Amino acid sequence: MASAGSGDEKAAAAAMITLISSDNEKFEVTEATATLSQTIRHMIEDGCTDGGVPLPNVTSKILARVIEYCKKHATAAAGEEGSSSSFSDAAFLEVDRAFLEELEEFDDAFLEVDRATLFDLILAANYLDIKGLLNLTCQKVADSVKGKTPEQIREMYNIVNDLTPEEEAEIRRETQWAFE
Amino acid sequence: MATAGAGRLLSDLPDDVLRRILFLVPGKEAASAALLSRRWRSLWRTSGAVYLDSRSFYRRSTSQEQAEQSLGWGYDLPWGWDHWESERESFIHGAEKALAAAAAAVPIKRLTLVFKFETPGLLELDTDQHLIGPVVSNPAARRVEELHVEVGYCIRRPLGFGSLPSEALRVLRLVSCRLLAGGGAFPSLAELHLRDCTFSGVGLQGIADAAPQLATLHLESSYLSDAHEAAVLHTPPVQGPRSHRLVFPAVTALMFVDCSNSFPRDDDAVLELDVPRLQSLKYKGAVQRTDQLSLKTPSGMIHVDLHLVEDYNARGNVSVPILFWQFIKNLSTTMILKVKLDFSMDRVAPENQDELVCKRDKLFHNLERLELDAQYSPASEATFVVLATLLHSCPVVRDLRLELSKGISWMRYFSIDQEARADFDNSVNRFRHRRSPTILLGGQGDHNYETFDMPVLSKQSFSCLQSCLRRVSLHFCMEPVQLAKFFAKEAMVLEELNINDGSQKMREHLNNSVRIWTANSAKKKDLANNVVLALEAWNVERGRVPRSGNFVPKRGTGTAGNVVPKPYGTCSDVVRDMETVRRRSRSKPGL
Repeated sequence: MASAGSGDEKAAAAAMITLISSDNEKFEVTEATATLSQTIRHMIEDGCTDGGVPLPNVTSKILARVIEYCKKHATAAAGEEGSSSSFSDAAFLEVDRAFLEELEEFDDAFLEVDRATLFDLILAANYLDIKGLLNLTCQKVADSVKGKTPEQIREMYNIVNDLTPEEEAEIRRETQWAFE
Repeated sequence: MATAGAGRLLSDLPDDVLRRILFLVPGKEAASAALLSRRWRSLWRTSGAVYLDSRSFYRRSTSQEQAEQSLGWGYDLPWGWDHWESERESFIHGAEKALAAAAAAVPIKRLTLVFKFETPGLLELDTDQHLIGPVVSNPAARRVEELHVEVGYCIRRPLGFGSLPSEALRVLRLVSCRLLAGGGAFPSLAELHLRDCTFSGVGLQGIADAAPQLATLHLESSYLSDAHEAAVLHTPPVQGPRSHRLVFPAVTALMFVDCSNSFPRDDDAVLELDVPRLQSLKYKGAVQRTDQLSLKTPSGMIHVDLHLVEDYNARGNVSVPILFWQFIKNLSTTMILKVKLDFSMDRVAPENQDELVCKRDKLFHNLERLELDAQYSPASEATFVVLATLLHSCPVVRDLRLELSKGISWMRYFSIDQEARADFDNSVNRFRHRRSPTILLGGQGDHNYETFDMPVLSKQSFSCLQSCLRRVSLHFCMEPVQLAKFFAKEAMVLEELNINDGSQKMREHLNNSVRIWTANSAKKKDLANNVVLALEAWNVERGRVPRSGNFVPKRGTGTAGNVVPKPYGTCSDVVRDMETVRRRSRSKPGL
């Protein structure tokens, strides 16, 4: 009964998607992993993934990290498409506490990267439309500015202050409540 | 795009991403971001979203800190009331200015309020008028579409609906609030989420009546509080079982999670929910308390997700099997049913199966997909009685997914790997020792396995197996070989049999066997070729059953079913599947 075997292989082959990074490296991932990206999901739905999906905005180094994230999260897809809020969709998730804790640990470890890589990950998550990854990485940046003065934030992120003293005074008036 | 890692800067990110980051920063610090540069200033002015956290508005005075250090932290601090007042005032004052400043350029569409104060001892006060009210009723917040109010320390703060911005409000999320009835119309309100809240029947019904578009209602760890009801209605306490009837005419998705356990201990109270347009239900609660919720559902439900746990403290004059079957009878029109039991499925075995089978023959007359995730007690016939009853109850089921594990729930968290290993080893050993390769190839020695048959299942005839069941997934099942064999032999139109049982090695054993079983099953000779057997490797690294949909037949493989057996991670998954089901039911009316 060779037909049963070949059908099996065919099903397995159809489930794989090839992603091609900007530096022409190919990554084979399962459809379940790839579809955490809404961008790729739409491509699959439109049937234009034959021959691989070129991702000219993502380098192989970043794509490898993104795929690592997607693989881990493909099994617990909740939160990816939901909001960043602590409930709503999260409750639809089948709660498996041990796994969720493991996932949190993974996320924490995943974020242990330098700033430049973090921004690259944000750009890739934005381009590929992976909400969970985008929320995770943006939250990391947001947390880093909490409790910091504008000067500290500028220094931390190499932001050039192009405000004139007059503009600055105006903003200070507008946002006076924040500095009381 | 520059080389990755070569000094990518925050300023390389597009505006919408920076706005997203800004929204995750509490209002006060976000405002200081306006001082960074021109770009940040305009981002801040045009974000349309405000996030206010009471903690960022309050600074303790030096004298308070000193006193605190000398006295220790507690409820009896001498400045108690003043302290609370100053916290409250600084928040309201700051919030007013923050809202005014944020609304200067564009209207505020998203507002998040987090109230976490340092003086929890004083939070019991009836302070709606003084705290949440003034902020949410601020004119600058009038056009808010999404409002999230969260109160810390699980102290339920009163919130009157009269004070909410009502015109544009689309999504309302409340955590730890005490809902008070109030006026107002909510013409756009589509989603209401309550977590750790209490509500009065009158109050919640009031919102449902004022929100004709309310399609999604999520109740989580929230309960109906009678005290309010009585106070509002000025009614004397009713004797005997009391029932609260609430009608949600537009709700299509209802989530009722961990609410049954938090009912007041007054166990006679019954909550009756009439949801005439319900399509999707998620319920989690104690099986012993399912009789406290009476659901009135329509005939066209699509998706039901039940997660039942045990509550050993619940009063027990009705047996668990009766409660269970009564409860799911309410949901019998659904197309997709997912049942997760945090206890042994033997607990719901009907006491008199013969009687139940007749009665329930057409219980789930629309059900196309059944997923059962439960534990079982080894060597218990009751497990098969439950399986048999379910199969009898689902005459048109096409997809069946069983995830059965041994033992009790806490063990699953720690030892699932070892269990997997042990189960698998047992199965392999059984294969090695019970059947010689020559017999296997000839297919003649099949009777060797008759001793492993499950009498409860194999003695019966199931209508779903005759013409409907196309796909079976066995995940971590108690006796995967027995069950696989049973379905391979008995399911006449089976197209796929997926077994996820721990190892690739199982594949070679089972592949051959299933072919023989199907081939030997004379009734379905023509179909033997169509069975695709997919065995998934147990992912040892991950330490759990893969929940992804990668055992699903993929596009272009020619399998008939379109329903993707995937766990319901999110609402949108449910919606997508609903669409699939709808599409299919349109295209195959004679199903």
